[in-house]
Amino acid sequence: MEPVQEYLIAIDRDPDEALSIAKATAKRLENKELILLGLTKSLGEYLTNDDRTIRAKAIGFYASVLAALPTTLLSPAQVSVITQFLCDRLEDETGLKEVSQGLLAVAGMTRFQPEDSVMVMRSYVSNELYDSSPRKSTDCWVIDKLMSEKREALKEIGPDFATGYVDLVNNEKDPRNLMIVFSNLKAIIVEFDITDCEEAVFDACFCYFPITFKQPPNDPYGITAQDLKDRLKDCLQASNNFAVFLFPQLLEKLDSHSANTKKDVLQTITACSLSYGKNIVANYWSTLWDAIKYEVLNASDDDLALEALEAIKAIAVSLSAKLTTITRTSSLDKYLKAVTKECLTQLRNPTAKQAKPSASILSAISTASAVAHATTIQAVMPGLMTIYDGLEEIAKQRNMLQAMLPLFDSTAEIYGVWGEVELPPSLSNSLEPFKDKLFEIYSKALMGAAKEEVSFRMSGLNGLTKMSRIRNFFADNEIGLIVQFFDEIVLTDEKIDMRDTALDSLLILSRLKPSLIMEITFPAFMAKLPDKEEGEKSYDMTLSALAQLSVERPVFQVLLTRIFNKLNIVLNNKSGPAYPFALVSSILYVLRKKHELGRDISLHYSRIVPELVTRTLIPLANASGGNDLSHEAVLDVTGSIVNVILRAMEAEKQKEVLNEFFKIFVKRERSTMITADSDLIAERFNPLEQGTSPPQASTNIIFASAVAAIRREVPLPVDDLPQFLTRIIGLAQFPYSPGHRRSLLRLISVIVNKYINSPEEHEFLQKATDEMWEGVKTADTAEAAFNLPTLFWIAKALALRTDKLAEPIVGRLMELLDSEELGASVGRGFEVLLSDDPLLCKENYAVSLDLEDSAIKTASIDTLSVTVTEATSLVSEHISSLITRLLAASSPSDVNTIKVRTAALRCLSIFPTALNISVVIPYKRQIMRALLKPLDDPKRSVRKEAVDCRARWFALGELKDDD
Amino acid sequence: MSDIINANPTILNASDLPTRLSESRKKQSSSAYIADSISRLPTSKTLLHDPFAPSPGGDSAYSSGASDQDDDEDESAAEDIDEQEIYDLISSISDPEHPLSLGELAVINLPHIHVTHGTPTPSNPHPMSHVLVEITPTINHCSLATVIGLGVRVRLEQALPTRFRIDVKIREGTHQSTDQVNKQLNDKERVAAACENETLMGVLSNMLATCK
Repeated sequence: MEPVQEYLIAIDRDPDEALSIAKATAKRLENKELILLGLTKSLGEYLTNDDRTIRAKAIGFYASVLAALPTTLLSPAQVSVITQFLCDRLEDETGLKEVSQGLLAVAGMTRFQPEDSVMVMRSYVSNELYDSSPRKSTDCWVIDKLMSEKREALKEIGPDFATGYVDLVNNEKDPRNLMIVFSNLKAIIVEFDITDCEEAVFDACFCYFPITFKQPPNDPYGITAQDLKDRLKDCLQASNNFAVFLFPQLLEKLDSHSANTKKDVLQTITACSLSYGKNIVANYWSTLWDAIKYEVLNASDDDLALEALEAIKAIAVSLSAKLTTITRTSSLDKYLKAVTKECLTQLRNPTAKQAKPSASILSAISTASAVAHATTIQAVMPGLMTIYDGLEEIAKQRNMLQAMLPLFDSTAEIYGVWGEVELPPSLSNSLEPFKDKLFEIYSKALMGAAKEEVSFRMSGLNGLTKMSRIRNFFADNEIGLIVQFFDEIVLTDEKIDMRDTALDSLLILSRLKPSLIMEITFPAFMAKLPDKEEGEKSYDMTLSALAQLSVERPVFQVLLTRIFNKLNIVLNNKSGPAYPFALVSSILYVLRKKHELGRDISLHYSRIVPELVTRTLIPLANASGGNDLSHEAVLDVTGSIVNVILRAMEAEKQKEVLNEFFKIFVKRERSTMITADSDLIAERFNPLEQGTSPPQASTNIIFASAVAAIRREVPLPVDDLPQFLTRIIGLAQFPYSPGHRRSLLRLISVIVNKYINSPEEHEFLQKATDEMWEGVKTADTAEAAFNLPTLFWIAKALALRTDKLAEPIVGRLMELLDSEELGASVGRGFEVLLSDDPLLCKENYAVSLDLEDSAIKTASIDTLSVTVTEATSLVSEHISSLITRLLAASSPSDVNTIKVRTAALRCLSIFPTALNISVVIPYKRQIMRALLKPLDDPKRSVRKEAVDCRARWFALGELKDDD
Repeated sequence: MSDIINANPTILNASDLPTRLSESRKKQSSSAYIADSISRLPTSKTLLHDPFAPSPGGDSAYSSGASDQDDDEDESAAEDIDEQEIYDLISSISDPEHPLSLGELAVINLPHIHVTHGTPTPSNPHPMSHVLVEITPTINHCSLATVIGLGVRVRLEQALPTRFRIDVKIREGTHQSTDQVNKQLNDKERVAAACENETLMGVLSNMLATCK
């Protein structure tokens, strides 16, 4: 049987088999077992078959064989013959797709000659069949292949090619093909001779404008409307000869009601103005300006106004080409004259609706180029100054001050801001002559106006800020004066908005002129800080301002020195923990801020950590008996500072620092971290030993924070980990204070989570928890169950890393929920188990499941949050009893205080999203009904929770079989 | 809703809307917030918070230790549902055609909400109460007034106890077909029928999604 016959039989039954027949045939050709002529001839009878599908399939076979041949096998003559053969087949209406596949294969042959591509192209272009029948994507691919590989040959076809191509693609609608068509059209416009058919080619592109394609659901093509728009825009801007057709038609479409069309028009004007070049744009700026200005001056849509401003700017950019000085006869000059004249007229009445858009236009054109900036400023500033002097109403003055603000931004854009390395333009800054006058009117607005005129003063403040940014505009002494103004406002102004904005301005200046902030603002602010607690928290706003200003490194160094000095004084005055707390917190604030900004905060270790640790510990070891730094709230902040710094360190450095911490807290050795009297600490400081003093014990807060920060690969410097853990567990049984216990439990949890890894350690832990469980199980009071909290924290550490040991522990604890003596404590324990812990987190290298995107996490509800999938599945099993308990807790009674009711409702409201819908939906009705009662709670805050909770359950939707 | 009916409504600034929060808290700026976070020494209650220690008042299994601001709340004093509370429930509903809340668009205004409580008697400790909300459409031919009214109604029905009678009306003289809309909004059967309409419920649930 001929291979073609086998193929025809196989194709409908099994396309894969058919394909392998084609491949086998190709192999035979390659091995010379079959000759090409024979193969072609064998097709003969099928190609004249009356059944059109047979004809198509036969060609399909031929194409598959060609595609499977090595590209180097055929000689030039053979390639030509095949090409001719296939081109002839293009006249047969059926099988066009298969023919194109064959052409695609043959065009990929090494010996495919330029003449062959011309032949293919001519056949396509002259093919009248395409007028009636839809073309296939494969044609596009053939042409695209020829365009990219044999373009030079196609160019020789001459003008016919372009017209032919345009006809060929006429009416194409498939977005995938359009992507190819647009890129081919662009190549034709740029590289082919289209002098005689410019309009036809232009129309072939522009008929698709504006693109209205919408991505279908599931996006089967992977093509966005923007992709098409971009390619079309590439075509339209490819030849400046299109300007004559394009601009009039675009402006016509600008009258459209569709915002999308308008946006496309404006974006196309912008792109084409930039690419067509100065000489073309010179002919059109006038009509363009007349049409586009309307879109800014009477804008109803801010986005469109911005697009229009871009277009107005693009015209100026285009006209600025090659100009280095103001040239009166240039078309740029004429354009800017027209624009500035119109805007200045509008600005005569600064409270009119068009004033603000006019100011935006001025700002847009002045950022086009240095020359455009100079021309604009020279044209408008004298006028604006005169208008300002003539204004009497404060509202008008304010609007005028505001109208000039964008011009300062443009100036900063053209001439740069302080500290930039780029060279400024050679043209001198035209705003310079107005500097003194501007300084005067904006300063007067800020400092001279009545306090109530907030928006007027605000314009003054903004103007001074913006002008201070411009490089080489104000002198340092002038900016120094401005900094003083801002300081005064931050420290004394009664309007919050003013204080905030002034502080923001100081922040901007702290980056551009840090020395001025250190020399002027710091002393002024530090002088406001009292030496001891003075009731009304006189220091908090000042500290807040200082902390915000200190993100830059040199400023932060100054802040540290000053804060530590102040801390000494405040501690000596012994006025309570609140002020020291605030001082230390401000350091933590800056560190966190710096970390958020991606700075390496580990390098602040040596300056901060030894200092704080020493200052905290020494008074606890010497006879003085401690100071306010050992208050647990302050210890918490100090711990957080140690934690954020340590976790930013490399493993090597962590190891070093961790050793020092163990020397101090565990081993009672001399440590280099203690900067004052390390012998004293080694001798008298023993926070992790039975019988230590309560204040010393509390410092474990710092130790736990430090250990939590360490990377898993850094081992703990202890010889026997189980023994060490046993020691901490022992301490946690009889803590001195809640804070002390919390720190010990966290320490246990961190160690279990990160370091219990080997089988022996596992075995130890299993044994230890079994023993604890025995004690807890038989306990008859909460006090007697002293290992219960530890069990929960160990379970938490294990569950976080989905350790299978967690399951039996949690399961046992669940059993206790109904215990009369321990039920309440166990309930609280589950809260611990399910909530986030600041120390057990990914940032601290804890092993945890990645649930970053979980909806619950963003809901940030404090009572129950799901970091523990393991535990939620366990909750699911007990959902019925939990819901009953929570609903009971949500109605007022002596024991159900506001807090209890609130928390119960909050907890209930988490269920719908935290648990699987099939688990919760059976309870929806019961809950919706039961929640009607708390809707009428006597307390407003509880009612609020009830409303939210009901809304969440309501949003669950209905059961399918609901009546 | 392809064509926007009122493209340019007057918008109130969110910070100017009526609220129960005291002036100082409402206007807390970022800087003041930072100041607060730096200098706010945790209350002794938070510090001493131990999830495992039994606390006075019985079962505090659900106390979180984080929300200490309502520590001082008086347990016994009842707070009636008042106009501001109704306002808070409905002012955060989104307008169906602007990405703004009904409060910001001044469609819902505090002075146009009226709550009347019945006097409780020993035999009837929870007498019927009545709430009337008058809506001000952004323009007087707003065809979405009915949808907005319906949204307000659905929200109140979900959020108020059953003893409340709810009336939602278009404010006199603010809409050209006030009577017609009012009739639709307060006809139980029509409202029920509207709630069966899936498209409409889709619009409503989008409007209500922003409720705080």
